[in-house]
Amino acid sequence: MAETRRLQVRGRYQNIPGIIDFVNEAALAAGLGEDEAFHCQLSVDEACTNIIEHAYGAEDAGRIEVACEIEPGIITVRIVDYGQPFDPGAVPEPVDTNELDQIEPGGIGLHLMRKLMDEVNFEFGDAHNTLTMIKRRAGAPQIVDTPEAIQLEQRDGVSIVTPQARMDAAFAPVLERVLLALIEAGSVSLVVEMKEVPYISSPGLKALVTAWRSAREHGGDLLLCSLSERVRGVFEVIGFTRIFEIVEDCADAVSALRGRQARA
Amino acid sequence: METNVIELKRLDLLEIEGRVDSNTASALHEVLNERIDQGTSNILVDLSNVSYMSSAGLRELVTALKRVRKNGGDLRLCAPSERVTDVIELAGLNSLFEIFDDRTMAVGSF
Repeated sequence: MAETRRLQVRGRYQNIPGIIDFVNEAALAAGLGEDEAFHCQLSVDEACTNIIEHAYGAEDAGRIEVACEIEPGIITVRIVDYGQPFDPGAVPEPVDTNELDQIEPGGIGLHLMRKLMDEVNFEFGDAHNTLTMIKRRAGAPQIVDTPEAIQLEQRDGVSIVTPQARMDAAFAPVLERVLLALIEAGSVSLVVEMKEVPYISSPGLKALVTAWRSAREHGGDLLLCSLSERVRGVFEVIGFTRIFEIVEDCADAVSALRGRQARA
Repeated sequence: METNVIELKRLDLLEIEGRVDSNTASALHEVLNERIDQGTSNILVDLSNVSYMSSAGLRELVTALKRVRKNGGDLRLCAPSERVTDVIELAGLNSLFEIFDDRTMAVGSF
């Protein structure tokens, strides 16, 4: 069960050391090594500096909210601000070079974050920006390392995966990793129960296709069930109903997969 | 962060102690600019007592390096801790700066 710790501070440079101490403690509590915890600290420092400098454009212009989700061997840090949308794509990559003129010092922070953390995702809405960063302990077991937002149940040799989140760019890689890990571990008959997925965007669709293809390559299959009307609408528009087998509910999906296993 | 400047014959030696981050980078900026404005073009930055460095600090070092190189001088680094060395390398700046383990060697290099 994940534990979430939260901290909220005013956007001032002098508050950053407090934030990174908080993150360091959370990283150590998640069982990360000292170097890995340090990588989290530095990344969060860079992120908060960017928020003050770019999103708010000044000190004392808004607050920074930090949430650390702690699971064994993995920490997820979410940082929220209410400033201008920050487009990481607009930041030039600092060039790995010894040509001094080509160095763009402004991009170094973002470059460090991407190098130090396992995942870095930006999302900006009308009201706020959310940065999600994930760091895992080296060699942490990945197989059934499911985050809180994904429920996993085994029934009659079928894995029932129930995501409980918006399937967007931030969440899709998490789901994809769990599905592929299950398949890799030999659980090739899968149902993704979509009843608690209110929204799906293209990274979410891609995650499902990738997992579906992998399940089939391994001699299994992946079915979907319990789609909300909205998600079903998206599937119909882009023709996914022709690729995926979509059934009414979980029980139907399990019996369909069991029938297939029996024939195999 | 504390800074201390020692004027040597051919260079200024800048000792830094503590954390170099977005909270303290502006102070580092001032010290470096002041030396360069006064005509110094060779600077050795002693990092042995720097406990923490973020990109805000690196940015100031790069900015100062650009200025002194333009004046025909150089800015070199010595004795960074393992952590600070890692950050410089991760940022891809290790080929940009001449970095010495030993301060005496670094002073002698100018």
